[in-house]
Amino acid sequence: MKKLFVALLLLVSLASLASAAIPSRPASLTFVNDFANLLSASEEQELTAVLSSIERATTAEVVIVTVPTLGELKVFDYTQRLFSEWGIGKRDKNNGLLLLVSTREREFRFHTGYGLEGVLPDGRLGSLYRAHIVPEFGQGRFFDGLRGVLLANAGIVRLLEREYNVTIDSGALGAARPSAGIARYLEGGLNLFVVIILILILSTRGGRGLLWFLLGHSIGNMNRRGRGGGFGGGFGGGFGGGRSGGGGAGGRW
Amino acid sequence: MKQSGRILGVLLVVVGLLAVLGISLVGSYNSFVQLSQQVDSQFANLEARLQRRFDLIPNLVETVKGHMAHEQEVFSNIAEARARMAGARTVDERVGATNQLEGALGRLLVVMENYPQLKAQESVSRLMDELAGTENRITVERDNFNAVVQQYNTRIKSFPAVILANMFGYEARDYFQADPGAQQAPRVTFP
Repeated sequence: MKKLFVALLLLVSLASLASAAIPSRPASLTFVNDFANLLSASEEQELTAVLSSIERATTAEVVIVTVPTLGELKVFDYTQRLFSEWGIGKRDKNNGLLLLVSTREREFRFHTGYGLEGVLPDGRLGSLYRAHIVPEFGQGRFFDGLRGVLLANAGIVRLLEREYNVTIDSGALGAARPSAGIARYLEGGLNLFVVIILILILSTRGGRGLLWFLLGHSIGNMNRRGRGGGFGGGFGGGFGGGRSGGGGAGGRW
Repeated sequence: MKQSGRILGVLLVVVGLLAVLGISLVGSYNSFVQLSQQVDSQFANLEARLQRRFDLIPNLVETVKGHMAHEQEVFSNIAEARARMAGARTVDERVGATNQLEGALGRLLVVMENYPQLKAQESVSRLMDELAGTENRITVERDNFNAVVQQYNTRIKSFPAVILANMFGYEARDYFQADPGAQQAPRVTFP
């Protein structure tokens, strides 16, 4: 029992070491994550209102993350890792979009999930970046730049509206509670269930041998699932578990 | 009575062992099939991304060619790499042509730095965004492909699965390695 504990502890600390540079995934689906403190409370609220309307109307998860620095990473590697660690976008649609701002490097980047590559081509996003981010961020107006890329005439809201044939209520300020899918809760519960069963088996003497046998047998299975993040990943609450193939655009301001 | 009971016990143990062995063999075999399918499908993803770059390049070349009349060598290099790419059949040929194309493209991007009026054009900027995005996507899919290949190769080379793999002719697969010389090419840094 003790050995297992040590092993678990080691695993957890290793995992946290590997992702030290990337902010850990919020427990709930938060659309605006202003780690660099670039936005006022009301600005944050307004952006959250727009982004949660997008999610309600299209299920697409558009997420803003600001950080003080990228650390050692290149901006592409940073956004790719953050995207996959957070699992932005719904799992079956991969319809996530990340807007990353890093103040020290003065880097901005859109990062698209697989499912939004067609709706938001890199060239389009690059144009939005040049039209809104470069001039506004250059003047220190972060909120205006972000609002521009979202709400401009050929902005993200319009592009999504046209693609999904919906109207997105972009003016609505107020409570931003994203719809919580039943499947998401179920999945979280299921993982908990598995863990409880495992603990029960472990606590019996005979169970331990069986457990090691099963473990040895199923390691191949776990590996095979790979990128899905099935075991323990779960994405219990919050983000949908979407994946990205590395699409997007951006640059310095 | 005691004797026959013991025989029955031994028999049960043997049957049990055989069953476990059989299950694990079937499991191993199925994992080969699954992993090898994954390798194939991930290679198809990678191919799709490579094809996208292949299709984008003529657009870029057409847009900038008129402004860069003195840079014929760059354009003929790209044309040659594209021709080689189109003719590539095996994975090895494909990797070679891909790396050549990356090199030629990298030179074009470097040369383009000398033409600021090109960078000022929105249409060129968009193409550069698309191209940079394509390079990033290729990197991602290449990494994914190599990760799956590694899983597959580890699986079929580890004991005791290796015996079964040899029996059914599951062989190790090649990684898709980028030419280290061409690595700096895809770094597109246009504002």
